[in-house]
Amino acid sequence: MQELILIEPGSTAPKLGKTEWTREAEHAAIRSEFEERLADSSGLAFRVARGVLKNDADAEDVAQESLIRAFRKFARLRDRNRFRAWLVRISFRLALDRLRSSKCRELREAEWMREQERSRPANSQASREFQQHLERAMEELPEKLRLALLLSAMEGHSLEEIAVLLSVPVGTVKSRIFFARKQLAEKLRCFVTLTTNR
Amino acid sequence: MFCDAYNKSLTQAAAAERELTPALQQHLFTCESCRTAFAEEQSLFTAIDSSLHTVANPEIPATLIPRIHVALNNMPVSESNLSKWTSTGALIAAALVLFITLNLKDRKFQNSTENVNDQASTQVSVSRSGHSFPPHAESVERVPSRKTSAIHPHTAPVAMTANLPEVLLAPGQRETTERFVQAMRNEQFRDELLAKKGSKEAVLEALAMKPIKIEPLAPVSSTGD
Repeated sequence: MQELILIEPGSTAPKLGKTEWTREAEHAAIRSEFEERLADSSGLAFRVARGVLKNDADAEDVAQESLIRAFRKFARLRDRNRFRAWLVRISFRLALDRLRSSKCRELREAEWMREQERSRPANSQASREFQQHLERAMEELPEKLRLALLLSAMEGHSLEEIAVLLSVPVGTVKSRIFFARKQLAEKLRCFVTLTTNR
Repeated sequence: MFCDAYNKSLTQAAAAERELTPALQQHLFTCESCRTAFAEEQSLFTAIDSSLHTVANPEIPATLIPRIHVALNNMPVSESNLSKWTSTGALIAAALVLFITLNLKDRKFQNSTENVNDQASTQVSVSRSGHSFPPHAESVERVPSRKTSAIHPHTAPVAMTANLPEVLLAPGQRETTERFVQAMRNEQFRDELLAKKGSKEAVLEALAMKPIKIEPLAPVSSTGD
């Protein structure tokens, strides 16, 4: 978004010093560069937060906060190609912090249940139950495994891209996903048997 | 339930979603129990993946980007981080240069004072043999440690400056020593004193002080007897 400055007729220049002009120009340039990435990255921040928080409203708050924080420190980011990786980390951390605030926890889960009812009326009871169990099992996963699994489940993320986002080798991503799936399977095996037996 | 020999490899194959080796395929073909267990394991991972996909790909709310734009517009245009860092760095550099300059100047002064002190103390020690000491000049010891942090109650105020040696003084000699140190700070006086170094009387006269007796401190009993 371009910023314009209104100059009144008769006045030669707005009352801004040279440093202020420079500052304004710097700010505008940073903002323009940041906004170019916004459309692409806001969804990523939201999905990472949503994967942790299980609630759209909270995830939206966290995504907004992450992007504002990212913008504040954007000028300090040397390698702008690392922006998405950086944003994933900010968003994941903030989402975990919010999840840990025990006050909101119950409200969030109740809201999540209502949301599930609204958004997927056609889903079977068993499938909804399984998803709840899966989300609880995911909460118990170590953070590194959870983030790798979440990113791998997101549309359009190859193993190589996840490796870039997490700043780890592809082999590490593979092993994290493998162990995360294995741990989930251990925890969910009984529920699959229950649901298939019904 | 998998057969013991194939349990690990079949579980891993299902978790990693990789193709089965010919040996495992052969076993599944012959063992019905493993075949069933493997099919269950595969359906478990399919269910997990399906749920994960739902969890990880929610619809992005249409309000998100407008909200961020509003938040960005409401942010004050603060000093850019780059110029903030530059000015902080410049300030630190200036402070560092000032500190180093002052420190070097102080050391230079201290070294010249030390030279004069050493020469003067030689003169004083020479004079010990020929003089009877006044009763108030009880004991004086120059403490070699220059960086000691403990400050003795009898320590002269001048010694409290970190770069000077700490000196223990008899109560009556504090004023004289302060005068001596002050005098040593005068460059002209120092030069004059160095010129007189051949005559002990002239040195003492110039310093306006009586000879100092230097002797080790007597050990003090900790019981206070």
